[in-house]
Amino acid sequence: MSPNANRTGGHRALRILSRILLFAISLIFTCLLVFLALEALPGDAATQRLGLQATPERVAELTQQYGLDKPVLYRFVLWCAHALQGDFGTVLASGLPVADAMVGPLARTGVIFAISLVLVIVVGTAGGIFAGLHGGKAADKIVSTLALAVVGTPEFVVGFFLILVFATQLGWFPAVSLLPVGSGSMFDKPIIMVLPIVAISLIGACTLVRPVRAVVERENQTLHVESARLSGLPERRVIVKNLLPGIIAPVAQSAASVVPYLIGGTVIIESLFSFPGLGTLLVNAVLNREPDLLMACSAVVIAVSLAAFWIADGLGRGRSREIEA
Amino acid sequence: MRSKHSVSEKLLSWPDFVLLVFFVAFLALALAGSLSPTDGTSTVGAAFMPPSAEHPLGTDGLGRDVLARLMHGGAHLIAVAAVSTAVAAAVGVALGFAVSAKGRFADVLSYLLDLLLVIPSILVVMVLVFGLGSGVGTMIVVTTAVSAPYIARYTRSLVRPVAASPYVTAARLSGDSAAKTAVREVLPNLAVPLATTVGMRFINSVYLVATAAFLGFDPLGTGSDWGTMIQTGVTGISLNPWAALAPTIAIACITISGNLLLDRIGKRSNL
Repeated sequence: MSPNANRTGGHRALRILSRILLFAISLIFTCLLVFLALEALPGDAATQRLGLQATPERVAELTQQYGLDKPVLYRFVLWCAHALQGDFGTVLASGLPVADAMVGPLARTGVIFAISLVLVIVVGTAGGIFAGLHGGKAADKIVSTLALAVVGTPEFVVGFFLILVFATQLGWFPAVSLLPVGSGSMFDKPIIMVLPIVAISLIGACTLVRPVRAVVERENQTLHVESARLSGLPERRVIVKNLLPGIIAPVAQSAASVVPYLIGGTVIIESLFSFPGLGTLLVNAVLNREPDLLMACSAVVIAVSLAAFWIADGLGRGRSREIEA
Repeated sequence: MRSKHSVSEKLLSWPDFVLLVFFVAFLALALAGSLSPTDGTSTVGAAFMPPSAEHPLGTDGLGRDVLARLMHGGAHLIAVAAVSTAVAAAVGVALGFAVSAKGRFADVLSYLLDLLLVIPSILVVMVLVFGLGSGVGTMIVVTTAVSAPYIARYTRSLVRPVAASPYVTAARLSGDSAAKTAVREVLPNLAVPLATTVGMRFINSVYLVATAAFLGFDPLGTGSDWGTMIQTGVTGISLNPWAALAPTIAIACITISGNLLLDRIGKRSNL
């Protein structure tokens, strides 16, 4: 590429290494913030665990057993060390390991989230391209305004309207995502996934429409697209051959940056449908006061959000270097 | 872009004006509703009764009048969102100026703010409700943690070009301190675009407090706001959909009209 290609290669390795390091530091720092916030409430885990059976002796005993008499930073390092070995503590109500309680919900959320993400990218990009190609015309205004209206509506409101239409009125899908009694696997009753996936996808796609639309509108006015169009090529060919290649990278970046929002939306939508996933588990961890469970679920959400941000940021940096080159 | 010249220099075009009227009317209705005599805390009939002449929106799960609860469920929600947005705006603008300065400290702070923006806001709600307990104070902390980074980053993007302008340099050269220049020369230039962003954050705060209520955290401690109404009303959706539908429509009216309006104003000021 350039005369100093060797140096660039060395730089790239260093750059990737430093970005991985930055990701790790960000993750640890954010988890520490959560750890501190969970500790903020007066009344510690020992008192909470014992409940009405709390006697000063028992509390002191458990305090020592949990290491609560140690400084908070020490306990955080301990938590990290245990977490790296797959030990996230115990669920107070059942006494089961947190990891066991999380496996099922995490897998179920992973499935609906992955399906939703594909739909978000397909529908959001298509909507954005459609609006961008009609930049400023009525079709653009209708799509853009509808998308903004959905984005500006709380997730549970969007989900509620879906329930009202497709569950209560039409009766096509269940309003509550109950697992089948026998096997307990959602794949034996895939219908329970439909409305949550539709809701999450709708919210995500509408979020993606706007940035994609902006990219398409800009790309559509570039010289090489204009000249391809002026040279008499059919419109469809211009779009596929000249327009699309230029928007892939920025669209990928936008899609990655939508992921953290989508995770938040998933938590709320799951809660609305009582879908047995990570979001419902998180909400229940707060309502039932399960510190270990909440810490572990938060760490997962943070890790995925940061990873998405990291990817989006990396894609953005790659592009700006390309433009500079 | 193309239509910009034809729209003239008016502050509001007619669609903006219509949206503004709707938005203000919805807010006013929500606030005025709390003045109505019956507050909907008493049981007046069976659970989830469909609408009747006596109870135009039927009853909720505890047999309380939905219309009365709807009238009273918005004011508190909006007031808390407004107060917490004001706190978030003050913190955010101050942070925004801090990160606009040059130097390592500003860079690190700037990165931390970007980091906070990546955390889903609902997770911030849950962690802080767990750590601090629910209540108005917690909602103010939540809103500040969620909104201040947005406002700070936006302030930074506005401050940087203004800070390089000749009149700011002139003020600094005449011996004014950085803080004084920031307040007297820079801040007035940012008022309109900042107001738009703060408005957006206000809508988001309504949204966030309502969501916290919907998830069952009872953020206002009254158990009678719109979000809580939706949460408790969903179970009776087949008997009296209005118990959940009415507050849903109320929230949607405010957030959608506000968002569309602020989006148009934001585009107009060309940012």
